[in-house]
This record gives sequence, C-alpha cells and structure tokens, in this order.
Amino acid sequence: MTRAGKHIYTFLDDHLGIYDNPQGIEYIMNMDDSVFVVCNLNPPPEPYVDYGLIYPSQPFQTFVDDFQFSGTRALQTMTPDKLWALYQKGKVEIFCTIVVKVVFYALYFRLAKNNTMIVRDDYDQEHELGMVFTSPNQFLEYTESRFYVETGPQC
Amino acid sequence: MKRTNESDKDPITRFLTNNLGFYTNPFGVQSFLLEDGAFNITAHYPGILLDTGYTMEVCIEDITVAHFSQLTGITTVEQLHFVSPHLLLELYIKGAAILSVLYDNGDCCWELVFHRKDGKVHVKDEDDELSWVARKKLEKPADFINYITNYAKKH
Repeated sequence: MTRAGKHIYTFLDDHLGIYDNPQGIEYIMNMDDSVFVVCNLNPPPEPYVDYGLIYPSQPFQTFVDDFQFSGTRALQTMTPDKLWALYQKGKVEIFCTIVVKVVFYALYFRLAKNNTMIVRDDYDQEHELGMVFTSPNQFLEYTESRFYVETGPQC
Repeated sequence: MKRTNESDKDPITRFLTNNLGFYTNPFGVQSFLLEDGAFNITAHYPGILLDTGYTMEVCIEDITVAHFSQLTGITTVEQLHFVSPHLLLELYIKGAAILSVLYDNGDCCWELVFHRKDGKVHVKDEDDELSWVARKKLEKPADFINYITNYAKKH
C-alpha cells in the first residue's frame, strides 16, 4: 500500500465507510474494502428517477489507482469532472433508476469501443447497445422500456 | 474576487489542469494538482527493491506550483517530464521533502514520516500523532526499513 492509499483507507474507515464531499460526491467502502463512488446529476429527467454517475465497486487499490488520488484532500476536493473523465474511459457508468414506491429498477450504462455502450443490470447481466446515449431522456426511455419488458407495466 | 484566466496560469498548472490534475512522468514521478490549488509530487525511493509489505516514497505535499518552482527551478512542462526520483531525494536531504516509509504485515500497517531539519532526522507517526528526533543514524534505505520494522514490533 502507498502513503496515499493508507491515508485514504484510514479516512474512509474513520467515516464508517461513507463520506460525502462538499461537491456532492459520495464514497462508500464496503465490508470487504471494495469502494464505489456515486454522484447524482440534477435535475433527473423525471422526479421518480435517480440519475447520475457511478463508479462501480472495485477493490480498494484499484479504486485508488483508477482515481489517481494523492491523498485524502483529493477525495475532499474532487468534482464531478473527474467522474466524467472516467466515464469517457469506460470506468464510470451512468445509472438510471426508476423508483416507484418499493420498486427499484436500475440500469447502468458505460461507454465501450466502436461507438457503443454496455448496459448492465443489478444482476450484473450485460448486453451491448449499438449506439451511445447522450441525453438523460434517452437513458430514461431505454430503462423504462427494459423495465416494462422484464416486469410488465406495473406502475 | 479576481478571476484567473487560463492564460494567467503557469504552464505546469495549465498542463496538470488539462490532465485532470494528474501526471506520471517517464521516471515514475507523479505530480498532482488538487482542485483547491495544492500541488503534490511523489516518487518511489529510487534504485531499491523492497520486501513485500514495505513501501518507501519521497514526497512534497501541499505546496503551490509557484513554491515548487522556487524550490527546484522547474517552471516548464518539459522540465516536469524529466524530474527524477533522485531530485526528490536531494530535496529530502535538503529538508524540503519528506520520506514516507510504510510497513504492512497483512494485519496492520505502520507508517513513519522522516523529515530532515537542522542536521537531525525528525520522525512522525501521524496515526498516533507522535513525533520525535531519531537517535540512530538514518541514511541508507536499509536504516529506514530496520527502523520501521523495530517500531512495528514495539507498537
């Protein structure tokens, strides 16, 4: 482990595994020390939707390496720009979650080669999308269509 | 408040900003520019192969790019490409950089930070907020490794 890694680990541990920085980015360290990072994008395309950027759970050292953190201040000062840059590299996904009462249906979209996207669900099942979505409504419409196909029009 | 134009920034700040605040040069020296303007530079101790669990890094932390330029004479991106770990080691010897030594035995991780001042080596255990002046002569990498190994046995 490096000095930066050790300090970041201690910092997250001291925050009981969850830290929200002033720019609205949340870091969550799981019991197995893997880390994921979430940033909501506002406003969401519809009020019943959670929409934002997510760095999916990765082992601690992978997380430190991917973000190239120099220490805890880098966590505190990080802005969504860095998550967008990692999105361009295919390491961060856009999540689109339909939230209706107790129903949560989420899809995760990440950029892939040849102008395509990979779509992942909560069961880590993936499929390729032959295009790249750019607007929040595209993500929402696609998520809703998959939701209806898989569960029927319940809401 | 006076706004800083892109053209007002020094070349290193501009370069790092355009690279999301991070750059590793061909010699493995990592430079970081945080969103709040703090500049860090770090490298692994040069020319040594360490046992598993040990890490030695030479770092300069939380200064400004202007201060770094003042310390080293490095003002251009071209010069930043050629900063070697040996330069950071020279700065440690001059008292301008710190030496971080970590020992991780799998269960616990210890870190001691060494800093030269007035011909003495000051040691800091940042986890326990302890600092003292080393009585032993600490010059070669093996001296630091033995020092932290003994420290870990006692703490």
